[in-house]
Amino acid sequence: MSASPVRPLQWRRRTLGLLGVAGGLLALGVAFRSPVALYVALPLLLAPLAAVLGAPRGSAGASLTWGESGSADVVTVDGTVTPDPGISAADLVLELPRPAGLTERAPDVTEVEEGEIRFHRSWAARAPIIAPVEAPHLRWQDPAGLVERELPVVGDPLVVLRYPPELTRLRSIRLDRTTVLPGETRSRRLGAAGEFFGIRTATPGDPMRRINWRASARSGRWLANDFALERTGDLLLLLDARPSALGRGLDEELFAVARAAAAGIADSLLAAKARVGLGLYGEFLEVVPLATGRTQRARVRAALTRARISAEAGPTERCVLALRRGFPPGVTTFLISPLADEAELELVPYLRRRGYPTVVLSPSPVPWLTSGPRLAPEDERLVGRIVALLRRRDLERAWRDAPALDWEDFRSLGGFVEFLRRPAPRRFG
Amino acid sequence: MRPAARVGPAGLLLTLAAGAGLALASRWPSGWVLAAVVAGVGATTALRLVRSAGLRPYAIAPATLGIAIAALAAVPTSATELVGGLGGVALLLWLADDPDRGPSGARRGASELLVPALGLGIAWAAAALLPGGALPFGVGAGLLVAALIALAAVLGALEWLGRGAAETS
Repeated sequence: MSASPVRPLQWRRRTLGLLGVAGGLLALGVAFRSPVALYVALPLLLAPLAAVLGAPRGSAGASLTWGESGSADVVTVDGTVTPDPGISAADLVLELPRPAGLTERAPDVTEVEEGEIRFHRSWAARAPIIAPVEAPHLRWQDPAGLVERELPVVGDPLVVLRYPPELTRLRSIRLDRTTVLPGETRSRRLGAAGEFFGIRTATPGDPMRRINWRASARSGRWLANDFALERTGDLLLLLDARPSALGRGLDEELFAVARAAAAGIADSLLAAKARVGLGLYGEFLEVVPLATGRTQRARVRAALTRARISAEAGPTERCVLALRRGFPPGVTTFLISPLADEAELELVPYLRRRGYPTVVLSPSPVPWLTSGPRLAPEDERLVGRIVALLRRRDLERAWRDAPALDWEDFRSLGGFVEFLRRPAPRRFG
Repeated sequence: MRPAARVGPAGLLLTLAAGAGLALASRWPSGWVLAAVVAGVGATTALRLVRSAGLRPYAIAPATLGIAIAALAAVPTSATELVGGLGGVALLLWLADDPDRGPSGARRGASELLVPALGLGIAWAAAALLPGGALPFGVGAGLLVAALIALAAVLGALEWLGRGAAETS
């Protein structure tokens, strides 16, 4: 472990002003032969030096305790910063940068109490989001604000994650296994099929086949069997991180939504003991191999948190070839892609041909495309219709190889979840 | 924060008192000098009350200008020299009582004012009390204090010279 680098002391602009005024007074004092002006200047000249004398050592820092709470679109961050001994919390200036994709809900609150700084931030998430919250920037400033030094803040990382709540219902979908002996992992869920788990009192809704007739005859009351459901199977989440014809800004917006949805899907299925893997395809394929458990959830979240749209787009064939090295054919694949250009549309048939049964979840760029520069109402309607028709054409093309579900209302994924639970032959939205 | 606290009453009163003291001992018409001091202090007070965060860091400038005018106009005596020096300290106190940095700024700033006040005291005492009472004594003493403090500052901030805490691995 290496010590954090020593942060230099920095003069503030105010100091230069003060020294300028003091220098001017000195010059005027000499010019007008006025010692009084020299006496006024003397404290002003000494003040910056006094400020430096009171500065904390370069190795000083602060510890951070913080957490995130709230539900739906409300994101609340509360924390406490405790400086090292010898540093007054009142001399510290705290700034907490707001992650992109979040807006302010209420004014920031920062209070200095009993040697520590407490802060409260209330933000709103307009769309699904997975974003790290940068640790607060902490600066020591002398009371007169003449000199400052940045202080390193040590604390756990914090990630804001919001995704549509319907994704928690994904646990009940059936996924195929891709290994003969998947290991000892069993589902914690009880159901109607799988390995026998135990007997319980029957309830009015139990079908006849769940009744344990022998046990019921012996005990004289209705008893039913419970079964431990088998592990649900394997899933590959594949995100297309290539730059598209939509442009960098819109690509980033859609990719942020896609990352949050992928995190939600992974959370839900990992909780049901499925094995989940992740592929992020930009110029090259970045992979989190199939695995299950909390560690895998952390791995997937970390990969999604740092994922960004790549500078260059890799060829489609490279993605599928690289996938074959990390994931066995036959693994159920959720491709999350806006399907905005030819390269993105090409990926769907490639996946099918290489043996990956795929479902496409496509975050729609239509809301952004139709909310551009102001047009006349007639033109705006026309543009909207054309964009919607093009989008429909692209989705229909993708449907030839795999179910492709349009995702336009980013607050809900009900349609996607219902489709996976009861697949329909052909459906949009 | 309440408006009274935003203004920084301690700094305001001390600066106004020092400015008025200098104005009363002025070579120029006292009324005009006093008006300049009051205008400067008033402008600083107003700037500390404005909502615009861009202007507030420069709020101290008008009061400094007012004190500077009064200092240049004052008849040089031991008393006016001391009042002028105290005016400089009062300006620093007002600067430390920053409305954007929470309450009790004046109290926090007191420790930082110790060194300038000490330097001023030594310079003034040297000029006023040493035999000859000549100005060069005071200026010399002030420069000596400044040099000592500069040396202490350099020794206390070794990382400025690239000699910070040793990095371990």
